[in-house]
Amino acid sequence: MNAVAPSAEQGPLVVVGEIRTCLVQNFAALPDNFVGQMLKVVPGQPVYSSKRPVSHATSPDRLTGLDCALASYSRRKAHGCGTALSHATVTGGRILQGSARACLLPAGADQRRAWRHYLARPGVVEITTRADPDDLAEGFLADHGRDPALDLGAISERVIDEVQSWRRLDHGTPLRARRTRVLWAAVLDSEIKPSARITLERDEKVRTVRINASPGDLPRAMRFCEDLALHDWLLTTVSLALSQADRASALGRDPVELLQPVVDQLVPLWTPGAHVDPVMLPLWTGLERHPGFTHQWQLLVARMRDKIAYRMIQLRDGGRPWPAT
Amino acid sequence: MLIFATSDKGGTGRSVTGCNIAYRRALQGEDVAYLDFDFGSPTAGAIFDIPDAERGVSDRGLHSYLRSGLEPVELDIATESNRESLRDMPPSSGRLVLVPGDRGGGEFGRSQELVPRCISLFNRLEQEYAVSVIDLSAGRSYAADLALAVTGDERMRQVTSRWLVFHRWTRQHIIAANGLVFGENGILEAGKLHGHDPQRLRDSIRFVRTAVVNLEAPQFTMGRPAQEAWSRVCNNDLKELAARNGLGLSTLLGEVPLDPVLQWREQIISDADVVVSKIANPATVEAFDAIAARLSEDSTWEGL
Repeated sequence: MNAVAPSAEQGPLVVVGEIRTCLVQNFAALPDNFVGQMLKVVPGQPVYSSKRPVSHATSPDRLTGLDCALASYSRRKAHGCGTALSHATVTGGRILQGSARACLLPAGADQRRAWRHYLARPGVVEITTRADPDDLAEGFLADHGRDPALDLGAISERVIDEVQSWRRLDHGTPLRARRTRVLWAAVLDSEIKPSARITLERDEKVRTVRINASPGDLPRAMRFCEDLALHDWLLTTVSLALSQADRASALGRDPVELLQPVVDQLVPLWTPGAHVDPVMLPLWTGLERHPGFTHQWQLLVARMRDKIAYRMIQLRDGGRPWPAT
Repeated sequence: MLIFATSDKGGTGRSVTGCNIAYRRALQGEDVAYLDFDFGSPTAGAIFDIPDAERGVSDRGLHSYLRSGLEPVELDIATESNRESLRDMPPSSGRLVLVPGDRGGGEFGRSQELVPRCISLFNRLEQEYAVSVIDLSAGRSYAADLALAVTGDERMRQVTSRWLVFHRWTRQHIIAANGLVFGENGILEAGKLHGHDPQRLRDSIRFVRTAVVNLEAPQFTMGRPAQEAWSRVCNNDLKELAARNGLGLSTLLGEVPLDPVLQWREQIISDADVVVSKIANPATVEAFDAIAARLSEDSTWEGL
């Protein structure tokens, strides 16, 4: 199910979305055929999957009805009515994402219409008040604190919950990980080259992405945001595991217990841009230059391997403790 | 690991002891979440000294989450607390967060959505935190029943759940704690109705004695000999009573001594309170530390 393609004569359009990333609740990574079954949350629709370089599967889209206030940067009141689209993705049988989005379009009429009108336009929220696209995009990104107006995060969480409650999962936790949020807003205007502004440091769990692109690039822009969310989650999770391992060694405990599942299960999943359309790859190239995603990843992975190697030396020498790092 | 903190009677010091155990566990290097499930009186914010959450938060607390699915806030103690010792935990400490209740929340009606909501919350916390301490209200509350329904569910079978029953070291409290666990509509009976294996559930329950008078304190050993002798007799009677009621040494997780700081100002006791200002007793902190460490000690939780 694709969102209605915005037409040029309507002027620039805003699509907003939120992605939540977490671990699949299972001790081991899931085999591909299990992932296929797990993601059949919408009966009758196919699960899209690709196997290389790492397996990646996307559930069918589903609809959620919305009738809510919309945040605007200028704090001008705005209201929308329509539907959001959401789906789940699973990467490497290990990482689960819930991804929800809505295209904000001006409504033809001031009055709220019958639901069948909105159901015929999946993924479109009609704005019944006057609103500037930039104002709405920035408002959505800024309003990530308490009481979000359009709560796409809650829709993403529901998708995650449904997938996690699949009966055949063992619901084990092989490693500790934070659930991260990526809020994104795309302003789509006639044929322009994609560009993005990414904020990573605002909050420990929240990242924001503002994209400018042409209307035809919408699915690619969303895919880019999901790929960014996945790799940002990997960096966050590995950093967390390393700080936990540092604490464990400082307190005289074995850090390998914490690091082994990370090296084993997460390190092979680092493939930035692998599932992203070439049109969007310049955005990844920018991130590789600054802040240097892959560079940071390599440093973290090397540190994990060093810690494991030190521990092996320590065990060879009869288990004497080495200075805490 | 989920730790459910409960007590039969109010005034056992369940919340203040639970908060201190969570704090000690974080000092021991693990990420810890403290969930205020005392819906009638969510006061954990006051114990952690978070001014905006003293009696719960105005919105997005646990109560709103269970009622309408609104994501609950997580307050990081290191940034939200007014107390310097809580803001300046050593770098080897884990994160300590409070998931507060709602101000004026009150108990609420049963709904079919509560159990799945609670399951997804506990599972989410389990992914992020090594230990989640869930403070249930006193007695056979709805929160306790909900906790038993949730932990009895298929989706929670891989998650280790343990129960701490707090009681004061008095005749009445020993009898009441026995009733809460073993009595009619007690934890074991209610657990069975929710699909728990009775033996496994029984093995996951331990008792914590609070406000225990230290008979080695100078007020006894250097006071009136008759009083000392009488106190020892009473203490031995209590030990016998506890053993007869299933609260003997084999099910004991720890004893928290009577400490004026806990009695008069329910607060977190930091090392500075013991070493610098010397308002609290070292034995109190040692007791919290030991209980916090025992939460995950397999030998402590072996089947009886």
